[in-house]
This record gives sequence, C-alpha cells and structure tokens, in this order.
Amino acid sequence: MKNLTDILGSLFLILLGIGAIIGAIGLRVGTPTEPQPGFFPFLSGAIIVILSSIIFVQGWLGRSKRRIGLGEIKRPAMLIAVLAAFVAVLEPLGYVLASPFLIAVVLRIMGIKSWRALLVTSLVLSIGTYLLFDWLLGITLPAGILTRFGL
Amino acid sequence: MKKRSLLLSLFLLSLFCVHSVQAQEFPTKPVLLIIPFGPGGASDLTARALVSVAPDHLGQPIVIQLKPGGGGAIASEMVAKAAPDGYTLLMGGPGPNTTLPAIEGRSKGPDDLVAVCRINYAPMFVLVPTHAPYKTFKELIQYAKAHPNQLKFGHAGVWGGPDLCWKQIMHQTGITTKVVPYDGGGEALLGILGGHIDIVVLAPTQTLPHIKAGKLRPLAVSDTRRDPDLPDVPTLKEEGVNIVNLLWKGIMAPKGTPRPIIEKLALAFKKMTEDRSAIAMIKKLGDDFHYLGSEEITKYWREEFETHKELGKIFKK
Amino acid sequence: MDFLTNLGNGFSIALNPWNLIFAALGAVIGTAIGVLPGLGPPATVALLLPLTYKMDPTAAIIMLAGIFYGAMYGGSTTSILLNIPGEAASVVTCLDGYKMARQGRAGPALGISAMGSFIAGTISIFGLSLVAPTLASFALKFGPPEYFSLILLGLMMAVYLSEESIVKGLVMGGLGLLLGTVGIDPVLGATRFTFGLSRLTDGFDFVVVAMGLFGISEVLINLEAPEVRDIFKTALKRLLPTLEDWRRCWASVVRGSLLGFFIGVLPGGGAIISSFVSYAVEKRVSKHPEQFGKGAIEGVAAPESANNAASTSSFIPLLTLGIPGNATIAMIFVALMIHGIRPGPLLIQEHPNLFWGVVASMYIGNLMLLGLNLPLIGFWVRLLRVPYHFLAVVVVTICLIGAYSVKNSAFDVGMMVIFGVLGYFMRKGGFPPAPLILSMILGPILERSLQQSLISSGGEVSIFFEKPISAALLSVAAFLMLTPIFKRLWKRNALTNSP
Repeated sequence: MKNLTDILGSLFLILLGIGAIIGAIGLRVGTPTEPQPGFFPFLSGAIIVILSSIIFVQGWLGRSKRRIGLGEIKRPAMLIAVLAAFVAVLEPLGYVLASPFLIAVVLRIMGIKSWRALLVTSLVLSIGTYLLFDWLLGITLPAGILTRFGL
Repeated sequence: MKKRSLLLSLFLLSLFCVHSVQAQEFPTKPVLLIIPFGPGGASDLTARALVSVAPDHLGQPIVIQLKPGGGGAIASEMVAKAAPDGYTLLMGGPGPNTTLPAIEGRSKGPDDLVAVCRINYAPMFVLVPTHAPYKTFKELIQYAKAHPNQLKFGHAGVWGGPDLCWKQIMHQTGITTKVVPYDGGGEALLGILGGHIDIVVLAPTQTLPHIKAGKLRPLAVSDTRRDPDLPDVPTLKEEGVNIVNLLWKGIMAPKGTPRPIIEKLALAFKKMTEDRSAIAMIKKLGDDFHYLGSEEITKYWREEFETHKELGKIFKK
Repeated sequence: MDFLTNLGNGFSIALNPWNLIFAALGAVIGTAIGVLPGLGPPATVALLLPLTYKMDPTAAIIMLAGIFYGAMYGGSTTSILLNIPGEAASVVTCLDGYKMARQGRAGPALGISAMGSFIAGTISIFGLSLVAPTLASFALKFGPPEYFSLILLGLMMAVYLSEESIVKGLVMGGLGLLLGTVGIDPVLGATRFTFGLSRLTDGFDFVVVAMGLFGISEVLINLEAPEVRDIFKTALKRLLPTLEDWRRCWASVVRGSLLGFFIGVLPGGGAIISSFVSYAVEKRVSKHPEQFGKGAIEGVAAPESANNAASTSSFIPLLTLGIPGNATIAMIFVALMIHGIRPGPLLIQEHPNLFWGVVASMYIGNLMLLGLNLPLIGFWVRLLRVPYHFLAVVVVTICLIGAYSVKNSAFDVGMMVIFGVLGYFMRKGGFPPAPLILSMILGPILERSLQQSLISSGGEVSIFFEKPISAALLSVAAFLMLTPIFKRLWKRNALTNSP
C-alpha cells in the first residue's frame, strides 16, 4: 500500500530542497573550511533532499505507519481564504472595522448559525481586544480609514 | 472691512506663495515621527525624550510610531513615499540612510530624503584588552603590519558602524586583519572580554565600565575631538588616519518638503534639544543632544554617503 | 560568612514595604503579559521604563526583574491551554502540555509548571547568589567553537522532539535551518532568499512562525471535524498534580533546574537550548519514552523548570559583566543606565545594596508568583469549558494581533497565515513543528559560531577538537547520533538470533 500523504509531502520537500540548493549555488557555497553565504542554505537543502528521499521511498513501499486521508478540507480552506482576505484589508480598513467581519465569518464557518450570537461575539471580541491591546497595553493596531475622522 | 481684507490677503497669499502660508500655519495637526527600530532602542528613547517637550516648541505634539524592519529600510521607504508636507518625519541615521542605500542599494538615502537636523551622535572607540602588547593606536598598527592577517577584529554586524570604521582603518593604513562576525555590540564585547578576539570598535555607552575596570584599553576615538569622559584618548586624526565616523541620529523628511517647513521644524527641534527637561531626560540615558542644522548635517551626510559607496566597492566581494 | 551577611542585608532591603509592593506589581504584570501573547517582556519593560525615572533604582530593577521572570510563569499558560507558545523557551511545553489539557489534565499541567518553576527559580537564585562571579567567567570562556558544539548537540536533541518518525523530525530540522538563513548573511552581508522583499531581510520572527505553525494550524485541523464543540475532555479530575505525578517528575524538575541554571548563563540561546535539552534528557532517561508527546507530565515539568531557572541565571552576565544576554535583560540594562548605574564588572562592589536587594527580591517574587499562579489554575481550567468555536476565535484573534505587533505590519500577519497553512499540512503528514522552530532560531547562531571559529582559526577545523569543552560536547553529540543506529542493529541482531 502506497502512502499518498508521505509521497506528496516528500516530493514537495524534495523540490523545495532542490530550489534551496540552486539558490545556494547562486550565492556561492565555498568549502567547509571557508564557507560562503551559500554554505548553510546548501547544507540545509541537502539535508532536506536526502531525508525526504528516504520518506519518499518508505511511502512508496508503504513502510510508514501513519496513514491519514486528506479529510474534510472545505472548512479549513474557507478559514484560510477568510484569513487571507483579512490580511489584505487590515491596513486600509483598520483593525476595528476589519476584525468584527473576520470573527463573524470564522464563527459562521465553525457552525454558529444564530445571528445574535454572531453579532454580539464579534463586536464584543473585536472592541474588547482593541481596548485591551491598543489602549491598555499600547500596541498600535492599524487604525485604517478611521484616522480620517480624527480617531 | 478688516475681515474682508484679511480674507483677501489670505486668498492672495494662498495663490502666490502657497509654501510660505503652509509654513506659517504649519503645523495644524500632530506630527508623526517614525522610528525605524524597535521599542527601547537608543532611537526610541532619544525620540521619547524629545517629544516630551514638543508641544512647547512646535505648537503641536509629535506622535512616535515604531516601524522596525529591514535594518530600518521599511520605515525609511515609508517616509520617503509619504506626502512632503512636514507631517511625516523619520528618525534616521547612518545605518538605514547611508550604509544601506550606499552599499546595498536598499532603503532610502540623501537622494530621497531631506535632513532637517541632527539630534545627537556618538563616536566609537577602538578598544583592545589591557594586557595586549600594543599600548597605543600606532603600536597596534605596527603590530598588525608585522603580523599580517593575524589579529582578530570582531564586528558588531556586517556593514554596521564599527565594521565600516575598522574597514576604513584597514584601507587607509594598509593593514590586514581577520574580520570575525558578531551579532551586536554586546556579543562583540563578550568576545573581547573572553579573549576570543583582539580588537573591537564600539560606542562608549557599553564599554565605559570595562575601561574603568581596567579590562579594556581605548586606543583612539572616531570623533573630530577628544571625548570629555576620556580626555587622554587621542582621535584617529591625531594618530595619523583621516577618519571621522559618527553614529548620529537625525530628523529626516520626504524629498520635496518645502524649505520654509524644514526651517520651521529645524528651529523647533533646536529648541527642543535646548529644553532643560528634555536634556535632563537624555542625560539620564547616559546620552546628550548635539544639534546640528540642516545644511551642515546635509553636507556631512552626503560625504558619508560617498565614502560608504567607495568602501562598499572595495570590500564587497 | 560573607555570603549570609550580604544576603541578610539584601533581604532587609527587599522586605522594605515599597520594594515588596513593586515586586508584587512586577509579578502581576509579568504573569499577565506572559499569558497574553503579542506583548513580550522586552516591549513591556520598554513601555514601563519612563515610569521608573522617578523611582529608587533598586525598586525599579526589582519591579522590572519581576516582570521578566513573571512572564516565564505566565508563558506556559497559553502553551498548555491553547497550543500557542508565547516565547521560544516554551515551544517544548506545547508538546505534552497541550496533550495533557486535551486529556482533561490541564490543571496538573499548569500546576506542575508553576511549582516546577518555583522550585527551579529558587534553586537558580540560590546558585546566582552563591557562584555568580565564577559562572560569569565560565560564560566568558565559552567562545565560538564551544557555542558551535553546544548548538550542534542541541540540534541533535531535536530528534527527541518528534513522536513518530525520526526522519521526519530531522527533515523539519533541515527546513528550519533553511528558513533560518533567510535574511542577511553574517559575514559578507549578502541577502539570501528575500526575493526582493525588504521585509524579509530580518528573517522570520519567532512569534510569526510559532503562532502560525502551532496556533493557527491547530484551529485548521480541528475544523475538519464536522461538529467542533468540545475538544477538551471536560471531566476535570483534579486541579493539582497528584502524589503519583510528583513521584514521576520530581527528578525531572531538579534536572531541568540544573540544566537551565547552567545553560541559561550563556547569552543568546541559553533559555531555549536548556528547555529542549532538558526535554530530550527526560525522554532518554525515562522508562516509558513512548508516552512523551502524548501527555507525559515529565515533558512539562522539565522544560518549564529549565526555562525558569535559565531566566534567573541570565541575569548573571548582566550583573557581573554588564552584558545583556537577551532582549529583556537589555531593557533592564537601560533602566540601570537611567539611574546612573553603568552595569559592568564592578557593579557588585559599587552597588552591593542593589545587587543583593534584587537577588533577595527574587526569592520573594518567586514565592509571590507561586501564590498568584496556583489559584489562577482553577480559572484557566474553567476557561476550557467555553465551547471550542469561541475558544478558536480567541486563538485566531490573539495570533493575528500577536503577529501584527511584532513590527506593526500586516505583512507579518500574512506570513503567519502562510505558516499556519504550512503547519496544517505538516500535521496531516506527521511532520513535527517543534524541530523546525528550534532549528530556525538556533541555525543562525550555529552558522555565526561556525564562521567565527573558522575565520579565527584561519580555516582549521581542528579548533573544534582542541578546546576541551567543545570536544566534550561534540563527543556527546556523536554518541547521541550513533546510539539509535547501534540500537537498531542490536535489535535486528536480537531478532535474527531469537527463534
């Protein structure tokens, strides 16, 4: 039985390692007694490629113990998309405007259907964290378009 | 009648000399001062001492914002891109605004930013262990010439002030030494106290106790004058090498900021550095203010930029 | 006895009512910021610096020091409850602490880390007051070759951080090394793997990577289940460690404390290395190593004791040499300067009251922290009864704010999300995140010490074997590297020989 997750994972890592080795050669590797900037990247790339090959072979032969399917990927994918959107609007919109939406959508993905719960939690949590971090602890959270109103 | 003529003159003024009106009115809102380093660093602490008295001398408060990252490049690029209206300023210095643009081609330097003034500076000392065979700078150079590529100099970050200062010394005197990479002044200090390296170049704040305890011997200072705390230590120029290398902090504005606004800001900062309570604060930090006007620091900055460019060409392989 | 009179004098200063109040204040603030990721101890101390301008210097340092070691107490809380390591030294605590929480044993996990921290703190302070100057000269002897060998040994220990496949653990170590090279190379200043982004020239920040790999990926994994309500067993048996727990891990606490005390003296990665070296040691000496990573209480006790002991002993280079070993201590250095005290080799002679007052206040502060943290356990444990979707939202929000606050930039938040996705796939493939993070932090130190050693020696590799400490560390590393291979051969032999 081939182990698909190990095969895919190790292939990704092998490619990454090869990329690192190519990048390292571009930086000049040097010798062990006179390492150049590319020495460490080369070393780590080589470690990744060699060890990932072992994982690949083990996965191909079906030797490894662990077997997990891809599982339910829809909800995690949705959360990732929401987080990416949040990153994009964080600085233009500002934390106070962006975070309630994020929190509401995350709760929705988690299976909360009651609109009241969504509204209350998202508002309380985003305003609460803003007050706690920005006012009390002095961490500057992005103010975004609210600065135009002199806030 | 009075009101109308006032309005008329205001209108005319705004038509013909926008800049001077802006300068007269400037500032009408708080000024943002961006610090290119993290909290608690020398730039942050200096800025805090300054802005505590800003409303008295500028008429508006100065708000500090910390934007660390990229060795100061992030903040420098941000300010260079900001509107040139005097409301966004940078607490710049040679690290992010001379060395990086001159040697790495990153960040922003004198071509994209205008210097408002210098706030203060620190010189650097060439230090060796007290028990070393060379007791003066000249003896050190002689020793290094007699033992090429044997002495170990520990830098405190590649292309940092100490690193460049030593590379300048090597270049001018023709000596060769090993250059051992160290991460920051504290680590380099530990290296020389532990006997793992032979020479460091560091600012006085961290090193003074070790000089007083008799562990380290200062051989020369990179200033134009001797340091008042250590009047026996000669300058590099006195020792025959033509090097002045200062770690300065200055206020910078985006290029294109109107001259009158720059002048107004410079005057306000001059008064802040003369303010008694601000001076008391900075003295507590073991530092001081050394105000220098826009023209003088611009000239110094430009020369520094050209020197670093040249050093980069020589030492960057 | 010189030492006793000095310490007695110190206690008379520390027991001054104002100093007691400031020690308590420091302990409370420290615990709070330790629990709240995003605002680390260095930033807090920086924020509070102006407040100390008008304070008596001893009181100021007592308070700031309290914040520093108080944060170490609080730091384990989020690791255990939410799988978010607040700082690098508590990455290892996540491995077994969070597992314990999910098994309904959050109370004992928090309890052992508070009590272990107390014991470790006390041992370490005792050591500090007794042998500080001797230890400082030891730290000075530790040059580049010694650092190189120590960190190499530490990275070998990363093998013990993976629960199932050693190869996967090592691959993640390699990936961490690679990520650690992103930024500016220490010798020539070449930019590596920044892809023209100047925000990458500083490399990856620990908070960004840890919150993504641990916090966000945990939420993503839990989202796979159709109904995510309670992932914690709510039948909470006990709030404090049982006698059986203590029997299992008292020795771990002591070993962790000693390791933390000695390794913590080294500036740079001291606390981090000690936390996972002590974990590795426990796993190795344990009679049931297979339980590690699945909720073994020794896996919480040892690293938590180690990082607390290390936080105390990291004061030694500051107080005896005037060299700040980490970012928080650097802020305390500034605080001393503000009061006209230049930390250096003469500090103990010139300001004995400050030195002994602060040391004595640490004994008291640790006691206060124990008194503060034990009653809090009940509160934390009750927090886990909140339905998971609310808890998950809190985790996400904390991670976002934490990542933003590192450099006030949305770019870092984006990086954190990317590491969250990476961590999610790593979990699915059984690749452990802890070796990645540790080698990412230690890799640059390893590289620098390698370069320092080789440049100093003119390219002679023999420098690593000529220095006794370095040679000893390298032989231990080689031994560790080779034993699993021998073990396997031995097993195979035994198998073929047996009928």
